[in-house]
Amino acid sequence: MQLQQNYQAFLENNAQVVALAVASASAVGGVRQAIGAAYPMLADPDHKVAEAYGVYNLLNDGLAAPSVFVIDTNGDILWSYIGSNPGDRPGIAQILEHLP
Amino acid sequence: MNGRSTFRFLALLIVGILALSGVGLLMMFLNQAATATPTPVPQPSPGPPREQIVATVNGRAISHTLWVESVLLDQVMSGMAGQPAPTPEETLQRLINEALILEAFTSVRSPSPAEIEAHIAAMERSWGVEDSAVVKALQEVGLSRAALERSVGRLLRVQAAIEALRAQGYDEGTWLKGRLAEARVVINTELQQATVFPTPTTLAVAPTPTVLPSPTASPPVVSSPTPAGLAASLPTTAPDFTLERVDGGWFTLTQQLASGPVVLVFFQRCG
Repeated sequence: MQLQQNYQAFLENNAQVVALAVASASAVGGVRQAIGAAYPMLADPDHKVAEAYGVYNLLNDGLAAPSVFVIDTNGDILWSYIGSNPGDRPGIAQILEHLP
Repeated sequence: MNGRSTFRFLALLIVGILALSGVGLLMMFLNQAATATPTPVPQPSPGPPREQIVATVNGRAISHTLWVESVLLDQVMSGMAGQPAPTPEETLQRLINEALILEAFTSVRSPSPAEIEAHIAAMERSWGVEDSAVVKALQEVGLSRAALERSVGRLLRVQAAIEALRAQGYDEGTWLKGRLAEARVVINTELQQATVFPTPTTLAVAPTPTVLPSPTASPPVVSSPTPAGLAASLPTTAPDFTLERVDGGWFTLTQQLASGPVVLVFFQRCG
């Protein structure tokens, strides 16, 4: 998805990108350093958040399925994309066009 | 779906949207009939009993929870308005219609809480009931007032989408007919048929507790390019959470939403 390379486009739309993963804080921190992410990255090691969003273990791997949720200021999920395999992700343009 | 029934449901949709501009006619929208025929899909091999998706529209899910909530809400509101309630199938078709419109106009803004409250207040005035009576009726079918607020908010967004369509010079009937012809709608008929609702007449006269079978009572019938996602129980309202940022500090979703929309991205792997 190249989130970091397109992060500014989200900010220009007044939207904040937040990434999280079912992993330890150290593992997520390592990825953050590797990709130079300027957006917040969160660790969800006990997968509570992934479960709440219905994306935990969908691929039977004990992880969150690659997925994106666009949430408006009322807390409504305007759009979501749930990947059916590790490489199944929406494009940046596809996400941007669903911003409120 | 044949041409006649297609045209009928499109016409009814437009009537419903127009009705929103006059709040007293909101029930016309909620009561609209629809005649779409579910598209039969192949029966996949039964998977883990965890799905709660009753239909998909171009791959986007309509959750079982949203459908159940909408059916019960339609019944309560119809009872208040003294009108016959739509059938669960008609309510599902309305959700499909709304999804088609909102899919094409994602840029329409969400109504403010004040706008939603103003419409609810106007509806209550037209029904001649106090808000407390509405809340009680909702509670009797297991719904909170927030369900009504979400529904009205959604309908106002549909109305805004129709207005945007007109502003672009489109004839909404023609436009919607074309959209429908290209849409890929899949209905989980097995889950749909396994769900039992209280009859609206019983509800209006003597509210009774709602007894619904478990949404996991039968295996899912879904078809999509993202089968894993459709097997999920997807929320319609974002669950709030607080997690520690790996660069220090804490992140709370609701606090961030106060500043603007959030794009929540789940990475599958980290490391």
